[in-house]
Amino acid sequence: MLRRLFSRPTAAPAGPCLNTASSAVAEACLESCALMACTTGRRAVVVNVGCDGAEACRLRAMGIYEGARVSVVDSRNGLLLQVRGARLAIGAAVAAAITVIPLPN
Amino acid sequence: MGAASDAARATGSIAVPPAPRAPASPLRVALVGNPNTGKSTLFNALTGMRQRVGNFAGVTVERVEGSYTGADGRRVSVLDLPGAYSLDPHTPDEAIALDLLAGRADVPVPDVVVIVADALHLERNLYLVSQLIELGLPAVVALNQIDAATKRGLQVDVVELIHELGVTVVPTVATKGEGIDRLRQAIARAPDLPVPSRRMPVPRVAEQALRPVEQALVDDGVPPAAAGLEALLHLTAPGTDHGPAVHAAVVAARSQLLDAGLNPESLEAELRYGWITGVMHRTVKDPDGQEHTTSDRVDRLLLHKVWGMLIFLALMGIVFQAVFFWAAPMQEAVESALGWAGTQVGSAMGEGDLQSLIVDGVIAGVGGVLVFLPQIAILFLFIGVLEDSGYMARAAFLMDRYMRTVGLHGRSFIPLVSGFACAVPAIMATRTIERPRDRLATIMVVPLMSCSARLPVYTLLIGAFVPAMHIGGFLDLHGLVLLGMYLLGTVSALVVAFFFRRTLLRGQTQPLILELPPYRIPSPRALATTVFHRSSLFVRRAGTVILALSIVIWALATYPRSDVPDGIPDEAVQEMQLANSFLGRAGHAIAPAVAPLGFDWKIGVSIVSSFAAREVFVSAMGTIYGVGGSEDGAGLPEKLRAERNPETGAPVYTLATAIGLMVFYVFALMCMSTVAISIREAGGGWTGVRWAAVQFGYMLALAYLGAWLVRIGAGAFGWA
Amino acid sequence: MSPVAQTVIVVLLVAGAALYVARKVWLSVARARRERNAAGCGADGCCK
Repeated sequence: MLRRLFSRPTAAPAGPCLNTASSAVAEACLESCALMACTTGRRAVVVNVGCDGAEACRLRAMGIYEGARVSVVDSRNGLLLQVRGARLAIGAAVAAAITVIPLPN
Repeated sequence: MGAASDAARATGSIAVPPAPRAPASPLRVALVGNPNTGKSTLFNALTGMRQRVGNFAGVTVERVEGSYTGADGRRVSVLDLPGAYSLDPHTPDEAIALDLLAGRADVPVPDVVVIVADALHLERNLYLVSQLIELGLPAVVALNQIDAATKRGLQVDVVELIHELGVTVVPTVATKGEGIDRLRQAIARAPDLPVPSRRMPVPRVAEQALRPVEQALVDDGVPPAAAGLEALLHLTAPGTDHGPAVHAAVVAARSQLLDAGLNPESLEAELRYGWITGVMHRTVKDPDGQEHTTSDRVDRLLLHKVWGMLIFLALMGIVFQAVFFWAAPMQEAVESALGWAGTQVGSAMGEGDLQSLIVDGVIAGVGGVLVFLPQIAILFLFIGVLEDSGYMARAAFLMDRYMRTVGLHGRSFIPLVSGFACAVPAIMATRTIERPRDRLATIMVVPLMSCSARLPVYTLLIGAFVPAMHIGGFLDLHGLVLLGMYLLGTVSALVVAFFFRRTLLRGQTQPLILELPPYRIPSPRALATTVFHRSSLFVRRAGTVILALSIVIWALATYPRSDVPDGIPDEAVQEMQLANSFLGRAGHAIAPAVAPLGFDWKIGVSIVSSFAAREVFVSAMGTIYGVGGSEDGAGLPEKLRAERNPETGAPVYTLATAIGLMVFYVFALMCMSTVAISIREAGGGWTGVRWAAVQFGYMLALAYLGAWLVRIGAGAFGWA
Repeated sequence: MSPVAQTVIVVLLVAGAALYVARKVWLSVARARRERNAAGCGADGCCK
């Protein structure tokens, strides 16, 4: 259902892959925010993958696509995500370009 | 043919009815799968040791081929395609797989596709599976690591999975060889089964939007079976590798989809994962859930900002210590065996040029290199353990931040670490880095990592000149100096990369996206295979190139024979003859160039002759001192320590000379194979030659400067 | 073994070794050239 809901590109800021996000929004983030702002243990739904071509393709093939659920396993350096049962490590730059809506724990 | 199939039946453990026909052409099988699924292990289990490693024509993607004889006596040739998460035409590795399977490569389309899927991560693996079954080729899914999944509490309903996918699914445990026979049977039967096709539902509106794209692709020469898949792939990003008609169709389809409220970028992923969610629900029971695995708990520690780095450094320290110490007893055994062989041959043959060639040229030269086989085997064993246990990916993740500060990619880390073993495979490993500039920067600095060929040089000099002093813990001065040489190379690699990224190779570094496989105990069999392959490659080199070079160097050090006055001691005669030989004259010619570094002409000669390969330095020293030295059977280190300057009587080799020489070898690109591979991987042709020349030049300059600084520094401290 | 026979063997071995080394060098140069032609590599060092 969520997948249908978010299948149209949203108005979320589609910043280029290489901007770093401000982490000040960490817990205040209720609407949509950068994946980078999520802390360990947070689950979220991806609403926009704002990377260019090849990276976006790889992310989507690995399970990070608009409508997918991810959960943050470790946010100490870069982000370690659980996606589709696998552990995916992404750098801060990528995590800043992915917009998510956090789910209540 | 008949004899072969009889033999196969006689030795085969499985009872299979005789084949109704015995086709002459081999069955071509392609092995495809995600990285970290145990694909290579499965490939080894299928084909055994008979493998050929090459390249796909015109591209720098490794191609591994092997074969086996099926139960019906038919040859089956297996092609191991590079690991891929999808058939995305944007990344070189994955584009290769797509082109080959869609019949666009200069290789015939395989008869059977074996899709290796990891049972632990079936959900993610099914993405590639769903793409592959749409190609309309006979396919078999090998559900690998089924034992690990069962242990985790996952229950996979294989029959239901076969029903869902429409292809044969064979559970396997490649590390233990389980399920391999059944997989072979399934491969043999696959061509006779109905070909699989698309299983996932596509919304009508998307189907209608995509139909013109499919038609345009077919008109452009794409096989009709692959058009459905390729239309979806091109939707994500309209490629330029097809004609304008395709491009126009893609643009039209994208706007049509947008109007219908669908996102063309993520359509494929949404459709596939939507279908996969259903398949997973019907086929896999996961009572425990996979919220927190043991790997996560281990990662809490190993990915810690401080502890993680400390553990990483400690691991590297242990590796180098082990390379030095575990190998020592084995090295001594090899050394004494060679000494014994030299004495035996020497006494059996009687005086003469031939005896000198065998003992001083071949045994001293090749033997001097073979002694390092134990160290190389141990190094590859450790790299194998780190890789197979899953730690290597963590190291890349940990290092990404640091690599990024010098403009390298987290993926550059694995080539750099492989550079500790050998720059040639390491430079080839840079192929996983997509952006040309990221790749080039890595290629340029990989040879600064101290490869195993430098190890002979380091160990010879450390063993001969660095006092064996215990420092504390498991460290002693030998290990510490060795570690220092490796650190010097590593740090310079990073610094040089930084400069390249600021000058010749400016640009953004590609962001990191990396899968962390769960930790597992490496399989001893897989490790043994790796170590065996690497070691035999080294031995083959010692038996061919280094053997030939040793003979050539011996000849250059022996001829022309000069007349020496009677009545002078034997050693002086040999010394004079060496000085008058071709090699001696060449050495004297370049002596002024290396004199500022504190090197004499013999070292100069060895350096020049080691351009072919660094380890030749040791064999050249062995040959030169075998020719010019005493016949009392003293080892090379003793001879080096005893070497005196004929004019001053001072030792030629001091600690400072030895360190300077080691520093020289840390930097200098003395390796024909690396130069050749750099030319090829940096773009080939004149582009490649230019980059390789830049690489060779800057490294030689660094080497000279480094060795000179050591000499100056040592002089300033008064212990030159 | 007579000195003449020894000399002949030595000459053969050395010549063989020298030829082998020369061939290796030649082959690696030739391969680089061939692959350049096959690869259609761009000026930026990027091979398609």
